[in-house]
Amino acid sequence: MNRTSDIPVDGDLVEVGRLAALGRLTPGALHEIANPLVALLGTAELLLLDAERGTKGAERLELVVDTAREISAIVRALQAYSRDRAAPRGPIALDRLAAETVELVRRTSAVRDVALEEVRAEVEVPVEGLPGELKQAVLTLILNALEAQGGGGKVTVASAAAEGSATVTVTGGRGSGLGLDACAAVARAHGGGLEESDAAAVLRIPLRSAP
Amino acid sequence: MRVSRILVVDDEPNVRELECAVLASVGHDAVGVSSGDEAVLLLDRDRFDLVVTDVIMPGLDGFGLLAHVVAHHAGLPVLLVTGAVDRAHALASAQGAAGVLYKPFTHTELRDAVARALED
Repeated sequence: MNRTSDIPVDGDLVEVGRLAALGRLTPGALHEIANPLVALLGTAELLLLDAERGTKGAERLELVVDTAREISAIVRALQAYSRDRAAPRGPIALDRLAAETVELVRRTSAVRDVALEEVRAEVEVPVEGLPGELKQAVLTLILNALEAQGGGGKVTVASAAAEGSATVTVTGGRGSGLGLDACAAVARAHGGGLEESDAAAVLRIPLRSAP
Repeated sequence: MRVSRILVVDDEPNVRELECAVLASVGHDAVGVSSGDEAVLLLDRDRFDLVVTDVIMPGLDGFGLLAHVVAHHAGLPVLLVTGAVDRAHALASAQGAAGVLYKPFTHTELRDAVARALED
């Protein structure tokens, strides 16, 4: 197929393509990080076992172990997100999915001056769907809200169940709105919808009925 | 704790040596090899209680080694260790692995995963 054209390249499409390429590189990069990280963390833990407690050397080794564990937690959060992408359609707890997405953002976002608060439903919120797509939708809402808040603001992610619907409400704003069309498409594909205002976005999915 | 003889398979020398050292630190007899093909040869002439193997390796990979063990060493548990973010867990369960441990892991997580695999 000839894709040559005089039509100007759409900047948004280029950005989407760039992000998609980055996403395809990520699993391989995580794999390559995991091996040396195992060696680094494991060796430091072994050395710490042999180190004399209370010495400067032991304190420094503890710092290495703690730092390696922090990096491990970031890698694991990204691995979990990447694994979900390939997971098949099935029962999902939407409250847990939202909580995992908040954890992913806390671990990986460079935004440090916006408070990210999670309000989790008191009982499990069961839905049926594709975990990768739903997590992508929640992640998009959170990232847009963080962008909208700028410095010193607050973003709240609340999961709930009421009147046959499971919801994730992200309060904080829509930012550039990048990816919101895809969010709405994901919601529709799951039999629900995306409700937006300047202050909040609500992802609504039908509750899964008991088997 | 019962001392077990464990075959550790990983093409990354640092990871392999570390896994052997951690397992030895709790009294196991750990033997390391760098490929699935080496593991097959060793399994044919030696006795092991558990195989701990990386998944992505040149030549015979972890899934290939798992298939070999299921076919030729019935009852020998295999623990898959991987840093890949695919659906290794579901695949491994379907193919008869005793468990999957995702990299990066801590000493405790490796020891616990090995203990569970040996119990099965």
